[in-house]
Amino acid sequence: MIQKVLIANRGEIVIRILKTLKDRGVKGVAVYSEPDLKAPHVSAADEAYPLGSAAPAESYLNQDKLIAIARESGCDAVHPGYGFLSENADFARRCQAEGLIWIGPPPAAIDAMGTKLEARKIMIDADVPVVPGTEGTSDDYEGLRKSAEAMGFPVLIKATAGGGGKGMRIVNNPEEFKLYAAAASSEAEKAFGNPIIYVEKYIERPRHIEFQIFADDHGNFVHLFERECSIQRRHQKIIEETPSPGFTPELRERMGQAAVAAARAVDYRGAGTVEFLLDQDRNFYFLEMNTRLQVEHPITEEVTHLDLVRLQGEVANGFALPKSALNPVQQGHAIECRVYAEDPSMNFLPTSGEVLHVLHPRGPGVRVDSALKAGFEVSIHYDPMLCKIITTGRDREEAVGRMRAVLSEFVVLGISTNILHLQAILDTEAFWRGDLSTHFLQEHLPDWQPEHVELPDEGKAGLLLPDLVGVPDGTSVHSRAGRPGPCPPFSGWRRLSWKEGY
Amino acid sequence: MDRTFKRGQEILNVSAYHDEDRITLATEDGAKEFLWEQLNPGEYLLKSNGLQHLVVVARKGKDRWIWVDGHIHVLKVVSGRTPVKSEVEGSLTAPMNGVVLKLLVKPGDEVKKKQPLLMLEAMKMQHEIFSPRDGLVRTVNCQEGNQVESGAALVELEE
Repeated sequence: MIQKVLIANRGEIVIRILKTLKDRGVKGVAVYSEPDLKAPHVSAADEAYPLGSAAPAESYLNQDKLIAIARESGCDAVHPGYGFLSENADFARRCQAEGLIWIGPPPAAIDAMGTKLEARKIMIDADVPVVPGTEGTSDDYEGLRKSAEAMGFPVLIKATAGGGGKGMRIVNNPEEFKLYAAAASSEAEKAFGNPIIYVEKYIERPRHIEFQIFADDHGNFVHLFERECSIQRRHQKIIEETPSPGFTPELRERMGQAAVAAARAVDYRGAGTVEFLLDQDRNFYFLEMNTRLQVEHPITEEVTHLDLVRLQGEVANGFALPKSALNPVQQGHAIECRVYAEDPSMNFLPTSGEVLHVLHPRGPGVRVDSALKAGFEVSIHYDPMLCKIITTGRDREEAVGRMRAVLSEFVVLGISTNILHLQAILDTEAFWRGDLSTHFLQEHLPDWQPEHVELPDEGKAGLLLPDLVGVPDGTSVHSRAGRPGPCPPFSGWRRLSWKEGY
Repeated sequence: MDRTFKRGQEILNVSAYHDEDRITLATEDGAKEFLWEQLNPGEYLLKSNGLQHLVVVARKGKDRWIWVDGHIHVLKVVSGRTPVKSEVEGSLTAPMNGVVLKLLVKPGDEVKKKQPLLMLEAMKMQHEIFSPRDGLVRTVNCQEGNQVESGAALVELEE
């Protein structure tokens, strides 16, 4: 039985994992880089140890240091969270070699899903549909071009070691093919040290649908339904929801079975996510498998009433998945908005600086997974995601309506965030209709900018109030505001609140 | 209190004073009064005519971040604190509830723009009330020691 877990990560996911560990009576150990000394994920833990300087290689990617801390603090397990070392098979192997339980999939499964071409081959063998495509090559551009012509333009050139859009090109006609192929290959060589590229059929206006899967040591493989993740900006998800609007039980059944087949094909264990593209004719294609807990896991938790971190722990302990997970029920509708430290008026450039004031939304059906705290300095060294707001309702209309209400009450001062952009997305008619695709933002909000709003009289009066009534300057005062205070009478949600945070 | 702020290239002058649970703002359409209540440090509820607005203010050095009605405004203070007595520039009405301490003009007096007309005490502080323009004092509607309400016409000028 796992007694004490090192959480090799930072930010909101650490707080999320600690919550479940505390519920289960398991100790959690946090780690931090120098600038994160006073970070919320550190203060939330019972024990916390320093890693090194800000740079990830010196801190959250520092395998030697992480393993030393795990051993010295008496941990018997490591939870990698998402990002950082979560999909690093070498780190997983090192943990296991040190006698630590790795709360994640087997290293071999991480490896198998790590390169796109290999994962494609495994999926083809397992009868999981993949986007029509070619074998990989680093120099036979003419062969690739012929295959591309056979499948019909437009096509997508992809790098086998790729990620984040690097080494990827959309090609519309045969004439420009060779030029783009050479560019993609050299870009992939530079970014990943691997020049191998391949060609896939380009799927027009696809939806990004993923399935949460779980597997244990006792031969159980289940899926916990879909997540609709089509709303993306530069390949970064910003709004996710479940169920997917317009989904049918029949499609869910077919895709769920394919997701489970994908997990079986790599002898998976624990929590994983199988990502698919869904085209306009409801054909779906395997995209990739994420061998970790996903950022957007809370929406699955809200509609299934399962604690995915707890399930990860059970599987890591060698137990069978409980009945509630083996016969899951999808109830109601949940949506997640990711709040990023970025400035929409400056082309969404990541922002940094001291958080001066935070007023998190609260209320029934509202969950906040946040690493925001007044007085904390948001650093340029790490991912700009600050917080996830999750709202749940009986149906989509209720969940989305609730999200609109809470976003309009969410106050973050000191750094720019994308809150107004999230609201603009929820306000589009296409979003209400559920007409989603990964091109949603280009199609509906191509040049969105926050509108210039005059400071109203209330704001002008409020601007002078701290000086007039003599509240001292400084974050010592503001940081107190992070605690729940009296409920403002204007807000029904806050007045009715009984569920804060997670 | 008068303060000048910069919001991007835009200059914003804000003039207001407060009296216990009231704050009065000088606007182009005259004085506007709000009842205010502090909910948490930096979080204020401003009420007027039944409308209630949450206003959240954070300060760092000269920077001011203010949230109201779901929008964030970022401003910089350009002028520092000014003496309390230099109140709303030019007024013939009481800008707040208070007591007339001293009358500085009488009917028939010729006054210049920005000349002090009277002294008003509110919140144990003295406020000078200045003439908004050049003119001749026609009537003075108050006496020293009088309690006056916000908005009361104190002095009338001939055209």
